[in-house]
Amino acid sequence: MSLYLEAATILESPQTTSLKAIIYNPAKPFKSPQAKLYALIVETLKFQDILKEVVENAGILKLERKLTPLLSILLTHDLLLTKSGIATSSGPLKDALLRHKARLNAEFTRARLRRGHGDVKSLIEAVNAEHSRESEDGVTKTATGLTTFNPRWVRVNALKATLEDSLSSPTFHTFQKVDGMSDMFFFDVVQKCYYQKAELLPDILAIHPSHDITSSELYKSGKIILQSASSCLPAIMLDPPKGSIVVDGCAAPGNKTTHLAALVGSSGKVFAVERDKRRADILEMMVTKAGAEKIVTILKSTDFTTITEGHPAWQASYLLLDPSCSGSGILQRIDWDISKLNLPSSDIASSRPSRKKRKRDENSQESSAPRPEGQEAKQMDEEIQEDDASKERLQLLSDFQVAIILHAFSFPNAMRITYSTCSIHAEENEHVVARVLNSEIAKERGWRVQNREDNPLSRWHRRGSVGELSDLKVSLEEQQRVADGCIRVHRTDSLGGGFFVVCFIRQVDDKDRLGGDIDIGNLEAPGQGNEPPPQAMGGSIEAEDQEWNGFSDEGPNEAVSAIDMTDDDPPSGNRNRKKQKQKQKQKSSKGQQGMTEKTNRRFQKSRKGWS
Amino acid sequence: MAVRAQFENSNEVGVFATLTNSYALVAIGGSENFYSVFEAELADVIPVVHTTIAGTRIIGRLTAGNRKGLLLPTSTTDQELQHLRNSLPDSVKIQRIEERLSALGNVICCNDHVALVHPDIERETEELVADVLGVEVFRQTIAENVLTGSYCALSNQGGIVHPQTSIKDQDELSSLLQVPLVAGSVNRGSAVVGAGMVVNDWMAVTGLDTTATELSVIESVFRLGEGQAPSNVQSTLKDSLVESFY
Repeated sequence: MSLYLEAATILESPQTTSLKAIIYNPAKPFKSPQAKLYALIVETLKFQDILKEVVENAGILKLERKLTPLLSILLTHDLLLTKSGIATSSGPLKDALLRHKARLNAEFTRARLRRGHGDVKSLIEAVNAEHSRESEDGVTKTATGLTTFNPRWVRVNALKATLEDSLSSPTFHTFQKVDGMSDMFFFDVVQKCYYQKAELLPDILAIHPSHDITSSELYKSGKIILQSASSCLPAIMLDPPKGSIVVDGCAAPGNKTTHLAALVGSSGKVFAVERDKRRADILEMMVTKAGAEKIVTILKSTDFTTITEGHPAWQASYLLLDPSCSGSGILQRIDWDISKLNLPSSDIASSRPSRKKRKRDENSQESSAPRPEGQEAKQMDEEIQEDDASKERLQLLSDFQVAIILHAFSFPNAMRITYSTCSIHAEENEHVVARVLNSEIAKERGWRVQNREDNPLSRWHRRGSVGELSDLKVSLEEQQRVADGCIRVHRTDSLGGGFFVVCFIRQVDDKDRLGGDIDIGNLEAPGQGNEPPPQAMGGSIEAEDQEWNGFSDEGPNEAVSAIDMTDDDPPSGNRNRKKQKQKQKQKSSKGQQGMTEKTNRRFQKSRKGWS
Repeated sequence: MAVRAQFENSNEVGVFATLTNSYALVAIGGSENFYSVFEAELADVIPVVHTTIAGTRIIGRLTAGNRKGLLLPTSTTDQELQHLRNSLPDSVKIQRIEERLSALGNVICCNDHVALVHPDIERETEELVADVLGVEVFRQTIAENVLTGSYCALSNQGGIVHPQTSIKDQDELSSLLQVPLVAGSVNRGSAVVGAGMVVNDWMAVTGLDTTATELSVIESVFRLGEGQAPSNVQSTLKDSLVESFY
């Protein structure tokens, strides 16, 4: 019975992260096997409508007071839809349900017939088809009638093989090149062919998903790496020259890390930072497999924001940041939203909903009132809806993302930083860009978004949405330039998922390079410098007020108040006092650190994993 | 094959007999005429058992059963129960059930796979029907009559329902039962088809008054008699044979 009770507990608690993360990274280990638990919950969610109908029509909740609505659908699912039935020895709850076995079966048959399915198999197939975004043949037809292709993308690992070598290898030598993605899919018989978008994505091939590549020698030896094209974009956009020092801020599982290693070559250096120990092990395995262990230094269990002066990675000139995100762009992942669970009600309760249910309803009403204006992106990427829980999660994620970028901005020798997410939510993309560009450190150190013309992916057509950059406090033309500098990939672009990349650059002047002294204490007193930057002259007070805009205004007020917990002053006073303290200590970067760590800790609750 | 019979001048065959694929129950009458109709057709195939239920002769209306089991009302005496246990094959489960609606033959209509029951039957009975008869149990009405057993005669091949059953209801019933249904009558226009006849997979017994038209409808929907003749099989098979030839 623990399986069902645990599943019910999971479904009852508010969702803070993905279902997979809840089950596979639990705070307290589950008694029942994780795979079983996951399967039960996912399948129950899939069939929830029909199960609700069955339980309600059978009227068992009124008779069996011990059964909660949640338990009833979990148990009914296993009773009706699995071969082995309810996977537990008899107990009061199982007996309660089995007392109504015939009735439940009959109502299930009726519900099935009502949906026009002659047998259970066809019902299951229909429900599965409804829930799988991706059909087997790699062609997705969206609700809008748009056909998209989901090929398998393969990156040739330049550390071990060249593109020509791979194409002449036994795995690929029979493959023909085709000119368009659609050519690969419009045959009944799967052709042995590949497609290449060479001008945009060097060393990257697309093949039909039905080819089994994972058993090939090329894959096993690490000469090719299965990596979606969209996730190859950050490294291509960063474009580190051979021999440079690169930091991968949130490295695991290591696809982008090994891509970077391939780009910098054996004379370069990649520092792969990974906070989670388990994921760092995966990263290590991937790096070894790709033959990049000499180039890549893995910093296990290291938080990116703890890298400061004195750390070997501190001198890096290129940084790739791919922090945890909601993953809303990922094609394969169907994120199960347990808050959408539709529970059956007993007849009495239907007029007067139970407390829990009503609470949920209230929440959804609240969330429907204030909607973010990101309609454009949302319409394009269909059927992704938000509610309160996910909004809060997005807020936590974006706070974390901002903290990571701001820390990267303080690297003394950094010349280029790419920031990427596999999310399609503007909250994690354009909004984050706006927040970091508004920050003081970005202005002081001259960080700006790279011009579209200057980066290797300038030919990609889909750019950032300027409408989402309204928070950015610059002229409209500049906003447009920033938006053009951002790259967006839609789920329907056939690059293997939705994606967002932006590249920040700055002019490296000798002073910064030699000194490497970028205490915020210095930065906050720009008047002391010989040549104060013009914008700091004009609006230094305003700029000071705006400092940490991203943090103090929008999100973790607690982060600020936690630092000054003892004072009861109004926030502005806090800010001034804080500044004084920082000046006194001449170590104001600590303040930033404190905040980022705080954010990190808050974030850990909602983290989905580094990617 | 379909035959006509009478029980002591009554046409309601379904009242005085229960017929399944593994046994037949026949009421004890003044003469053996009625019994011998069954005996003649079934003697070598399945046991034909003389019995009373609760001392009455309306055994068809008090019992419900199929190949796998037999349900008896609480009023069945211990002697009757013992007699049936001795007479029926061991594979047939016999169960006496406590149900307020004690005329089980009127409230349960079943074949070997599905049972349609009175909507107000008790939940325990519903589960027992499912267990003993090995069927899926649906609470159902037939042409707005709650007595499913009276207004429906059912075999594994097909079924007859109350003549005024709407097409929509027939479709719904047919999809539940997974057999073809027809709305029809027996005994010269009687609507109580369940009480007017008994049927299993290879024979039907109707009242003596049943018209030729009624009988032909019965034979065709239950696929009895002529429908199963070699010549008929040939003609129905011809299409599929030709089809598979291509």
